[in-house]
Amino acid sequence: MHTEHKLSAAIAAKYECTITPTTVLVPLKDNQGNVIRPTKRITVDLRTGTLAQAEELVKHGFKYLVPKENKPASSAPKSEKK
Amino acid sequence: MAYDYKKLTKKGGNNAPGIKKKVLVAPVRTFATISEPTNAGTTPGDGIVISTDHTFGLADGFVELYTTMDTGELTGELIGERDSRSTNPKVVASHPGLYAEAIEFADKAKDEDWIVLVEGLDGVLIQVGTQELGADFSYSFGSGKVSGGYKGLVFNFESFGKAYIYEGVVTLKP
Repeated sequence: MHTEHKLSAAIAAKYECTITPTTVLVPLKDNQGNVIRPTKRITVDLRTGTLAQAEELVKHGFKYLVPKENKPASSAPKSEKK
Repeated sequence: MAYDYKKLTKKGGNNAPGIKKKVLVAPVRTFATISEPTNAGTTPGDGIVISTDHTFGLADGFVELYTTMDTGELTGELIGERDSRSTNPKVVASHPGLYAEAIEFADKAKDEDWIVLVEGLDGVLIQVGTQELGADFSYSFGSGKVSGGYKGLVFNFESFGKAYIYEGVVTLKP
């Protein structure tokens, strides 16, 4: 049976997900990328999560959320016609 | 290279015994990659810490297994004989109820090799099972008595070799 798993709209507005969106438990890391001990984890369901939660995951080294590239030039606002 | 022993001192702080109620399990066949320690030899302890993420196929991930409070336990004993030693990490825990899904889960699980993550009360995730020696699963069950007892299944996961500490991202099954 196939069930669709989509990144939440709030997160999808800024990020693309390189794994199947699901619940992830991400260990907290310091600025050098080392796991902070004693270990604590953030739990986020990527299908329902908020942008703030996504930002928190990325801050702690979650590499499966990739910022969307800048919009291509073709989607930039067109100059007004005279 | 011979192991360079360092002193072990009392860490202090929280050292509460026991494991949390949710045990995370996944069949070895569902992983895309099963990571291993990569920093062995640089810092004491790093030889048993897995800091790289385990990854799964598209529709797979760790499955949560609820266990009754205070029934779960992680143990390990020295096995083998003099000059030929190893250990056997084990996880034992009880799951309440004798219902179709649980009985079928157990019946299917006995034919798989497993990677098991149990979380101590301090938040440390201990991994039982490796790619080559996935944890073996066995179980027993009972109805309890009208006068008392426990109606449910007792799950056992057992592997051989070291127990590892997992510090990567945990991905649950979608």
